[in-house]
Amino acid sequence: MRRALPAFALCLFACVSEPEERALRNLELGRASTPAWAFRDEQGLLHVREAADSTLTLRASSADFSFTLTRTEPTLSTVSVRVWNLLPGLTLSAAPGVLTADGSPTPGAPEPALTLGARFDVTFPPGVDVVEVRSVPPAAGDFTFLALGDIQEAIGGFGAVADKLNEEAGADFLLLLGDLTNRTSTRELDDIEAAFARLRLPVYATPGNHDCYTSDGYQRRFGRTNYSFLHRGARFTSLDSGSGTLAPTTWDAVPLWLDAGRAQPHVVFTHIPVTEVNGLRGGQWASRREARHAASLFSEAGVDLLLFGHVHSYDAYQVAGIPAYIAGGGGASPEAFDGVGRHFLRVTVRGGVPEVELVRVDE
Amino acid sequence: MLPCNLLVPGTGQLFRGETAAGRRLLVTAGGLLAGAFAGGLFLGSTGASDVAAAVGVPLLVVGLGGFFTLGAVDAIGTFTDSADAFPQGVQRDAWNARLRAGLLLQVAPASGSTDRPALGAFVRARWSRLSVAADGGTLPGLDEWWVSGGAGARLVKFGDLTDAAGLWLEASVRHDGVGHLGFEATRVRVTLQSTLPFGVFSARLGRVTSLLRLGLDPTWVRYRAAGATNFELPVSGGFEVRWALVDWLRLYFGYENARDGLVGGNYLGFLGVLFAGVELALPAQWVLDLRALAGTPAGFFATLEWRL
Repeated sequence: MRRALPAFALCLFACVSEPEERALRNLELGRASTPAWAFRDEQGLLHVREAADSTLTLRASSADFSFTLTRTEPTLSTVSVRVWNLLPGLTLSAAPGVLTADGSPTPGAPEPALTLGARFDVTFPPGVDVVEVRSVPPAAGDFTFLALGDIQEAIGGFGAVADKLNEEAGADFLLLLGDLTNRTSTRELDDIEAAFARLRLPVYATPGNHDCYTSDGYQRRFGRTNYSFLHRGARFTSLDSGSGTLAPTTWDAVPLWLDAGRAQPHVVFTHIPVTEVNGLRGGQWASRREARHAASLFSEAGVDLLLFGHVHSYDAYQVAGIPAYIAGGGGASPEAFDGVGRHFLRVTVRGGVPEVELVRVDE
Repeated sequence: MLPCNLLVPGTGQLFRGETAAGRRLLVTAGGLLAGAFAGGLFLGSTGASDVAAAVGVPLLVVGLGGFFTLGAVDAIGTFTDSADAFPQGVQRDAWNARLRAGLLLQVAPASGSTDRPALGAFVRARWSRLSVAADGGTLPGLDEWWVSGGAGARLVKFGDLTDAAGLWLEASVRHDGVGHLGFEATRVRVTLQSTLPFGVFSARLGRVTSLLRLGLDPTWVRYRAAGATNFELPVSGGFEVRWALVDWLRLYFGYENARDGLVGGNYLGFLGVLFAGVELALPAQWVLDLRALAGTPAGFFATLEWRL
């Protein structure tokens, strides 16, 4: 018994440390360096997909981002920065001589090899070793975005969903509410990226439990699991509930993001529902105490909308007085008896108020 | 032998020549496993819908709980040399004591937002057909407390070994005030509990008792900032196997299909809390109960109680 109890405790600790490992890995995703340069994005809204001496490939998880490049090799003059997943028409700006001669914003050069990609040649002006580049985000105002989760084993059939999503011409982006894959295998990740290449709008994702089967596969492709960004004056916050609980490091960040969102419309999206409609099946956070604490904080901070996946159905309800929606309609083993089938949400933020509509894919 | 006991409960008894007990265990375990399989299949094939969960989850809780219980019972029975090695009759234990009163300490590091221990007290009394219980506690230094009260009635008696053995219907109300986390919750729990000392089947199994529960927890959660109330309806229940190793030592383990305590559930919320513990009899009818819980987060409970 003396040996068994510590071993038992150690095993438990190993099991619960998974989300913390992901949270700590997040911090590294906005950084990279080579002998010639160093890249930093403190918000982590750009994560590094590839880095070489004179090229850098990034994937964006927002249209409102900035980064710095620091020259560490004096002979280096230009770094070719390729960025995926850009909001169509998005431009980047920097000081004169960095992206353009006069400092005017540029959409970059199209990069067909990347989904919604563009290439920006970042030049270090004479005597300047640190340059800052930022996006010119779309102006605040009314806008529409789409949301769905739970594709999993239905990646092969995602084409029909993508076509339906593409019919939403006015939408700015798609929020992926987790479970993009079934087992986070390399092949599945390749397939889902190929499927997303059909989409005409950028994809901002949060991981699901099925995206956490391998240690860092999801993060290498889709970036941070916890992050917060602004879009047209509204705040969006992704919380990594892929393990049914928030990591301690994530809990440290939650109050900061909630404070930042008090003066704005704020949408919090996470894969596993904080609490379910009834909770008979228990498809929600592992600890009801933790879930209620989170719901209480969301409510106190004036969060306007909660979006979840995980349950392969559609539900509209309230959590701590906040409108909450489950939209697990990406195609994974649909729930019987609900009569919903594949679906996604069309969310229009009008006058700072989110309005949510259900869109069925197969009608 | 042990894997056989756990995978096919009853084989151990057959091996020991206890043919009747072995067959009974085999048949019962098979039925329980079939029930659990049916529940799981129904859940899986319907996309784990809420409707299916109302049927599937109870089948899984009772089916798997009962199956694991019988596996443990068979294993213990296989390796128990003789009923003579243990005092005859039913020993005083947590499930059959007439009166229990004690203090408890609960530690669940990083349980959401606090790693402070909870301190509480409880009292439970039992008569042949009725029982009552109450407990309460607090997290010192924090605006958090709970109080709970309930009663139970025996519906069916299992054998003549003890009046505690039987099918009990229990109901309780618990209120948690968790001001520092911004909510309060009132939970009504209605539970059917089977209390089955296996001594009613065989003297060799007299050291083992099974507690199998199935319950429903309608819960109202009031969020202070919003002034809003959410209703939750989780299925509770689980199982506990208690093994009186010697007269001063009890080992137990089990599963509680609940996620609303200091220690929440496992695996995304689909599962509840696994636990294992040891009870040591102290002089003057005092008992020290040490329990480890595997959940979100892990936790450790210690209880010092006086038991009559």
